[in-house]
Amino acid sequence: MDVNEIKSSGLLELYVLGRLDPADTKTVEDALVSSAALREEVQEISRAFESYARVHGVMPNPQVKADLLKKLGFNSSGPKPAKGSGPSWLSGLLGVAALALAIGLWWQNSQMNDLREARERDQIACDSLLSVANADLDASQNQIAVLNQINNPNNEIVPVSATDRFPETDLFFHHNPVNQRNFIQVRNLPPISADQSYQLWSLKGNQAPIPMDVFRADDGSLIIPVRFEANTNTYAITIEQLQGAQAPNLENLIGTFSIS
Amino acid sequence: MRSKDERGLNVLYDQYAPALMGQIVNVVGDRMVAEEVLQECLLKIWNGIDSYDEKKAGLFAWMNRIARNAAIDKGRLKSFQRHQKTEQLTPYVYKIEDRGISTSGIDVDRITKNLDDKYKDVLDHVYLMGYTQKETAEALDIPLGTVKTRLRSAVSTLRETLKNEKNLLYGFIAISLLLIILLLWT
Repeated sequence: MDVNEIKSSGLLELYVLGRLDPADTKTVEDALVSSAALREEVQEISRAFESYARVHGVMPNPQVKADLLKKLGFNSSGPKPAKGSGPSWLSGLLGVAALALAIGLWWQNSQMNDLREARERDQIACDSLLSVANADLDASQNQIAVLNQINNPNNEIVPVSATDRFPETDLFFHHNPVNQRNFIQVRNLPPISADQSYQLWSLKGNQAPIPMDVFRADDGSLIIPVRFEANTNTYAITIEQLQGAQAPNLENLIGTFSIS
Repeated sequence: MRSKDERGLNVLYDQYAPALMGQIVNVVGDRMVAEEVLQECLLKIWNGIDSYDEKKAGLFAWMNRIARNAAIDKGRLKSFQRHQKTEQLTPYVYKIEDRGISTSGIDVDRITKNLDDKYKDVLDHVYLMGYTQKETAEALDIPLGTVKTRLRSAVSTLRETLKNEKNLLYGFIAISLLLIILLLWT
């Protein structure tokens, strides 16, 4: 018997009612295993019977439910409160376990906070080191850039002509008319007091000296970039007051560079 | 229910006891006896829930078989038969309007009105009163083949009615949602 024959035979209705003999029951159940459509059909028939039974339902006496609950050992007033659901030692054990769990969580939280603080400290230290390293890197890159400038093949390297008063002055002037950049290479300078500076001057023919860079070289700089002044015949260096001056103090002239 | 806790028992009783009681009382014809049988059959269901195989039939169909068999067994007891002689069993003792029960939102009028009386008679005998098809044929004085045909037609009508009920419900939900959206929009 195929699925359609079973559907139209009326066997399914009797199957749901439980009125089939064992042979027909087996026929239906074997077919149910292989046919989803047949299973759906059985479900629909079941729902139809169920709805008819509900329509014809009769409310039993409430005592039936009370007796049933009592027979099965349930409290008819509802679920038992948790308080009485177990022996007191179990409640105590649960309390201790909860306390232990709370302490464990507090301890773990405390450890986590310590670790977090240590991590923050390490982070600050790393940032500081990184900052120093970056500064060093910047300085190195600047020095490399300056050295590249000094090694520029277009540079004219002019040694200082030290004055008699400051014979210890030992400088080189790197002059580049192509890229219009100047550097002073310091080998030795006469000592100056805290309120004094070195000042560079540009000398052009009969013009008054033009005040230029003021520097101290306290930081040990060996190469000092200075301004380029076009058409300068000679650059001169004097010792002036700390902020520099508008006119040179010729008594403190330490040397000159003659530009070709 | 399979967890065998009080909540499961409440579900079993509240959801299914009235429908099963309706079946039992129509078979045994006495309310007090029916309540005894109902309690016995609920215990059987409760204790045998693990043997229920959802692949074979719906839960209610399985419960219904237990209830009907318990009611028929009770009806076969001689003591009950003696008791029965004193109270003439009349089919349809329990009219819907007398019951005052929840029918889980089912439109009772629609379901019963859509069912032709000749189908309803067969369904009541076979399903509610626990008659075999042969007994039904004899009781209604119709051929066995007619009982089978009418039973199928009755179930088919019920299914159709339930389908329409479902469509009506979906339609109502859709219209309600539409109205809510319109209200929110304005």
